[in-house]
Amino acid sequence: MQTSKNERAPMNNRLDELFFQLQARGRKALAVFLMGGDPDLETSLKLLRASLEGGADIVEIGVPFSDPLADGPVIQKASQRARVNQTTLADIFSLVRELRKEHDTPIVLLSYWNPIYQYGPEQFFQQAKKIGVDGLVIPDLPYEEKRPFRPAAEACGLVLIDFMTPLTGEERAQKILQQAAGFIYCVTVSGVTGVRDQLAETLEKSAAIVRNVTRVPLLAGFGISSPAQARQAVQWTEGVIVGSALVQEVENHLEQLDALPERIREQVRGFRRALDP
Amino acid sequence: MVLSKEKKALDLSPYPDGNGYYGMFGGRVVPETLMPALEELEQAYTHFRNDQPFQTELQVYLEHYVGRPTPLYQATRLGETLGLPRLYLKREDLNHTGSHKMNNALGQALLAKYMGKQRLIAETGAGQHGVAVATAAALLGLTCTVFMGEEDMSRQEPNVLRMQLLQAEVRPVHSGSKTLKDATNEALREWIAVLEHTHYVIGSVVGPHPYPRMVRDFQSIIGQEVSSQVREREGGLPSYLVACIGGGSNALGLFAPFVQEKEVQLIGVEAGGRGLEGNQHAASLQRGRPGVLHGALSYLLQDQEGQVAPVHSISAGLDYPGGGPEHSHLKMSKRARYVSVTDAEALEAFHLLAGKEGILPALESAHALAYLHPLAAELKFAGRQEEVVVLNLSGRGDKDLSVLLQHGGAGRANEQK
Repeated sequence: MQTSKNERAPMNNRLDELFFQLQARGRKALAVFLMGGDPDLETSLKLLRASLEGGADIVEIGVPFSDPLADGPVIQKASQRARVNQTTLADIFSLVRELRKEHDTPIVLLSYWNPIYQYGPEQFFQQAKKIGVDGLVIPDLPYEEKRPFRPAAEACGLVLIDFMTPLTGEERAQKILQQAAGFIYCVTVSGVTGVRDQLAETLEKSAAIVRNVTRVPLLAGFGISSPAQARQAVQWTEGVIVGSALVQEVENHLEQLDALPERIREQVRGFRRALDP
Repeated sequence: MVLSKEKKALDLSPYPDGNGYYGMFGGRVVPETLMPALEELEQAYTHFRNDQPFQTELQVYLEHYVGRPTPLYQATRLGETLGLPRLYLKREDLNHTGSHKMNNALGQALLAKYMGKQRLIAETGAGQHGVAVATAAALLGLTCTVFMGEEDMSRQEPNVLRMQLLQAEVRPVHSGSKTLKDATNEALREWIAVLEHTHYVIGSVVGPHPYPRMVRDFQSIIGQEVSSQVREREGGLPSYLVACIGGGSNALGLFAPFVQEKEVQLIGVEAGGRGLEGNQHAASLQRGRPGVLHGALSYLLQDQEGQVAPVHSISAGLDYPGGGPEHSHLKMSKRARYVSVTDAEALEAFHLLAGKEGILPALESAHALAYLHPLAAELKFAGRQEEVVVLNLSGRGDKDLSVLLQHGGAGRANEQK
């Protein structure tokens, strides 16, 4: 399925291929977020593998950052643990390479803009694509600031994921969605972790806006903390992104690292079961 | 007549552009969640900055509540000691609440009220901005939460108490370096969570567009007053403007009306901490590289991988790893000059001003004062000691008493004699 650079097949990206397959089988996508290098590089690789064994369709690997202003305390602490261990960008790339040797699952990197900016955006895109990354989630790069960099990312077949939030009005959504590719990251609540009634209301509204404009899949993230919430969310979306719930599990078991991969595998399995009919 | 020229000078500034950029710096590098709030704020600001009732109400408060215009004081004894006979101090320390921060806090609080917001949140380092916002909130009947790093809460304790007495909630920030940078992260996170009825009052010329511009505009009253005061006293323009820089709001407030007057030299003094050789300083404009923090691209102290570097300054208000986007542009275009002084030099300057003029400056402002030594030497060398130098005395030093005690207190001053 690896496509060469010059091939312009309609599906030149593992994400598109994945959603095509899922749709054909009437299934929902489970994306799993873990912080790269948390609690250490070796364990982090084991946890990513475990989440794939547990049934994740997409893995999202966080690049640790000193000032993660879109994240709550759980992911802030994970970022901090990874930084204390001096996890570098090279380490994150090595995680991707290892996983890519074993799996053909879509891999997405989540990084704040400054580490990418310092690396050089074009060089970063090329390097990421080369080692097998399919998309980038950049939580502090909104549509306007992303626009100048989109051609460079597209040129190497890397998807820049766009966001929808409960406060994104229709006019703004139109602009964002016309560019969207891969999937759309639908923030289900503003800020804090979710109240279920708000989840339903927000997703219904966002899904309606999105479906008017594009067929790019919608994934619900931020505040999907239980399998029940995941099941509820996919009434309106093509899948969910589960992050804080898993990272919290890591934090709770820092003294029992040996048992952690099994715990993560089981937790991911729980979400998988909730999504599968 | 004077006013119209100043207005013209401000409007002539081509920055920021429509996307909030100052040359290559600035922008809105923030989570999508914040974009609707920033757009709402920009629209409201664009509307109310030309709104007569808003401007009139603001002017009334600035004059009768804050105490503007602040004096431009010719510091003769200090000037004699330094060899700068025409040295003036812009007395922003005499504003209500004790610093220039009130100009912006009041402007934004009033704007928030006109926008129908009920609650203000703010970050603070030295506590001066926090106190100003807490004050404005009380004045205008708004509730207020101030985020402050744990370390700053202990070194600026009197200001914590002042904010609490003004009925603001002070929320301690335990993350990261527990200083201004982290308080700003936390305030932004809070805003993302509750933005509908809340206005975030950023205290410096940093953050995503429209903040750097809005804060500059509210602070530029400093430079506008200086412009007419110097014209009245000296019959022309000042030659040198000197101000300290953390994020850079008091400096930009002084500089902004003069940016187009190319013969006026602009000097920003950064916190040199324990010296620029190591990483124990906060001199982002001299030692940083362009990078993104708190929603804008600006000069930033960071490591090779783009992680924001820990910084140090004796002064909590300058202890910040970035210099605002407009300063970054003034630096890159070489319109302004950025220098630094160490913790020790700032302390010495504190005692010098106290002894020569009977004024206790904030440790932030003491940084600007300390640079007068090298500036005087430079002017002497060029035979230009008669030039008019205006220094922005941005705040008063009462808040710094505990830090001063730790560094020898009055004993140290006596040693100097």
